[in-house]
Amino acid sequence: MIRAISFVFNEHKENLYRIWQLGKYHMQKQTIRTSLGIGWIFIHDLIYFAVFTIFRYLMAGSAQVEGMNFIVFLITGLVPWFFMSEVINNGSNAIKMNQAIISSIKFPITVIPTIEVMAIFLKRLFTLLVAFGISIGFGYLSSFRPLLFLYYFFSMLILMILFNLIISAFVAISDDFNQLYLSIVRVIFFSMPIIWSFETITGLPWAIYILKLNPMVYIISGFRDAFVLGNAPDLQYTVYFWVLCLIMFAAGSMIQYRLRKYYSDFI
Amino acid sequence: MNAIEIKNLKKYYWLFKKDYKIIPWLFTKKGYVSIKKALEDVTLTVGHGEVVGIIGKNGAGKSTLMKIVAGITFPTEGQVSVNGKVGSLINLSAGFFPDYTGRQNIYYKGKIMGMKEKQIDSIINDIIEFADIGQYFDLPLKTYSSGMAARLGFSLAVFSDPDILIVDEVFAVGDKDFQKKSFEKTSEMFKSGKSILFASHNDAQIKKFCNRVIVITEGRIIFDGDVNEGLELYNRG
Repeated sequence: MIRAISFVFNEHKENLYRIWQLGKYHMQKQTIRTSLGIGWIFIHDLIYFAVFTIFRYLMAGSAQVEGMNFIVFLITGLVPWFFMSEVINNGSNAIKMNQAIISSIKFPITVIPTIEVMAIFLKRLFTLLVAFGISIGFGYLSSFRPLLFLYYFFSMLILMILFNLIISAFVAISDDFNQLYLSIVRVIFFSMPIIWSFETITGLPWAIYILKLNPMVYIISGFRDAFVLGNAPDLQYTVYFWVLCLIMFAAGSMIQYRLRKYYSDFI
Repeated sequence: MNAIEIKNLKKYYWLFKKDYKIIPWLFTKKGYVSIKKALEDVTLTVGHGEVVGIIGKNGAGKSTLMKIVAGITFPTEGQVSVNGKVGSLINLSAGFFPDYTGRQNIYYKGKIMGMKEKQIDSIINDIIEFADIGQYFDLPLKTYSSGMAARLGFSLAVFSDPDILIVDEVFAVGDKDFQKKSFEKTSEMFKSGKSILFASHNDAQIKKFCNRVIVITEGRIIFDGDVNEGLELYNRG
């Protein structure tokens, strides 16, 4: 186990330049044929925000949620979700879509999932701008906590790198897993307090407890704290989050360390 | 230290009817249809500056051996140590992205190969001149003919300055003019003191470049030594 962990860690450490550079290239891959390029991301985001806002409005009116304007509540939840959902949906194909590299060039395989996470994060930076713009528009500038925001953004990046380390391996070797996984993802979205609030189920404390085991909930509520509420991270929950990250790192390293030898033969 | 040291190398490929059977196999080693033994007990040492010709029939294990030296695929058993940067002239246009221009692709693939931006800056003009694809260099790769893409790949591979070069029948790249040029460029490298593994079915080329030859049959090295003797043995069948 120690050997796997230190192998994956070192491969990342030695290839930071490659992760950064190739992340930049892969960021453009999807939009390079278009006239607007990365501007399309911006348009996607605006449309999504608008649709969700209308949806939430029709569902629950314009009442405040957790003391926030409901649009700001939505957006502060959707922003981290946009980052994470793209890693979940597209990033998880990392090994598969870079098969040409794996099977013909010597390459540090365990950093491939990280490169895709990097690409998605760079591409999605526009989403943050939209969120900033809207929150400021609603007069929430003074409540923005930059340090808290940086902390949660960094935590989200780490969580997604570790998540993708594990998932991309499974997706690469098993199409069955891929199908199962994609259907579960839909459920996860609705289980998180993105378009609804835990306030609505305060009568079910055990349900909240279980839903909070999902580390993505830590990130989403953290973003709301950073943008609007200003609460410091809950100690117990923070410890849980980072312990889980360590476990994921160990598990992901072992899986990738073992499987990397088979990718070029089997995929 | 030698450039390449291989000891008791084995490489097996397990074949499956359906992909999902790979997963239980990882734990139990069961569920495969058959095993393809690509390499069986290969021991080989290549010193610095040696040009080693590899000959053998199709499917004898030449490509597998080269892929293992290039670090693309992993050995099933045995030790492989390679000292130096390996450049491979196998699958020349692999890693290129069709929507990037030739220039972008050179930077992109260069970075995949682990080069820094500045290193690529310093060879980009040589590549432009050598690949000689004119205005296409700044057009998307998908507008290229397959020969042009291979020329680009060949140029990058030779100008990235590897210590150990792996060459697998690449003189069929591009048109007559480019073939001549790539032949000359490779000859230059063959004489520049790099260690080279050279797989070919062309006796004349092997004789011209190699100072040693190995013959592979069914995954085993059956001859290792003098070029003429090796070719004779191979051609006798």
